[in-house]
Amino acid sequence: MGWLSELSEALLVSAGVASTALGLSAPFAIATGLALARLRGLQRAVAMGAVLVPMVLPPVVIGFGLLTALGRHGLFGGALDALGVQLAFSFAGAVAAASCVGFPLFALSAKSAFESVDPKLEEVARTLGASRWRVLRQVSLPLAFPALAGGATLFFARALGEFGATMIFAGDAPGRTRTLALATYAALQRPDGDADAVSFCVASLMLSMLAIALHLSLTRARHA
Amino acid sequence: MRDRATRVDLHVDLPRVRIAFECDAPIIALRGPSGCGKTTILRGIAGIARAHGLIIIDGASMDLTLPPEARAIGYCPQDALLFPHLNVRENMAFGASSKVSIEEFVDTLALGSLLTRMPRSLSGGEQQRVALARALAREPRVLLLDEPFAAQHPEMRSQMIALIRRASQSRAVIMTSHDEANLKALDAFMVHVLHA
Repeated sequence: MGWLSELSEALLVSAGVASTALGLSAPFAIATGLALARLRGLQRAVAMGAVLVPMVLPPVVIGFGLLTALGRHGLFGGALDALGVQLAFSFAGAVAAASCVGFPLFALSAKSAFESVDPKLEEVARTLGASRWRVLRQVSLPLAFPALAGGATLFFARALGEFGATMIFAGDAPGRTRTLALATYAALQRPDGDADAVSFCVASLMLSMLAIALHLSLTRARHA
Repeated sequence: MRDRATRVDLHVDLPRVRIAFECDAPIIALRGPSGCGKTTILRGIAGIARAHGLIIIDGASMDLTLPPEARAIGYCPQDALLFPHLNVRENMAFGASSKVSIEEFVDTLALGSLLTRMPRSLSGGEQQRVALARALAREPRVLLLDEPFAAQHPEMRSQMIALIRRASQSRAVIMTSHDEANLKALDAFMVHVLHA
């Protein structure tokens, strides 16, 4: 397989994994961010700790944790098998790994986004007859949207670059779980793979810069 | 001359301020030195500051422990607090009753040329007028106005006074204002709030 087809295959897998992870995680990350913004005292400290753990753990440990919990012989492996679901060493496993490492970034961005909404606007909306749910939909979410979108781009960028947890939990199957990061590693393992690895690194760098530019433009829109 | 006699009984209990009075006037002005709790009382009646108490208007009572959305109140804060992502028309329509057309406030408050503008492009006085129209469009039983004349151009004050008088025909108006002349023009019942 030529480097170009290998690159496009890895790009497709990376984009698919990151997009699926983002789509599945977004509602939970936004809800977690909202809860973190509203909680106070000990509850907030405990919740913050739980959200921050995946950020400070080595990704390899996250991958091993996923394998221990959700692998075929893991804690919940039997239950998942009974439901016909196999996460380990599959595309779904790569999505799960990317979700775990990207989730804290999105949830913390969502927390800041909701904290930046003036609570007086939410109070006034309630005096105008709006229920808490309507206030969330029509006041808080639209006002928090640019920062939420910024959090989503951070998640996407982190998911694109995920390596350790994916390698351990999803494996390195070309066309299924071999993301750009894994393809770079695989190229480096080949005796003549340095040139391919450089191409993959350049592609990774360009993707990262694109994500950062998108993140900055969204956060700038928020402060405009 | 007052437009009509409205019986208002108000008992509000907040953590640091307490007020109770009865009167036969549709427009009530809370007066007192800065920091005495006038705005807090309005926020308590609006339901956005924790309060206990009861307001009875012509025999119909409203419990002040109800959530804000369940109270028939219109609250117009001093800093207007328009929704920054909605234009003027959308702000006015946010809590509007289905029986009300927002057009009826447009001419009186000179808002015709502002309807498609975003709040950040409005002056303080314009923002306050939009906030007043937004509160009135809800058709509240109690209209709460926090310093409604503070940022108004003198030319607009007479229109504001006329609108508040008209609004008081069908509801109680409880307001704060440091402007004696405007309160006299409104023939408001004065309630002096002392420091807690």
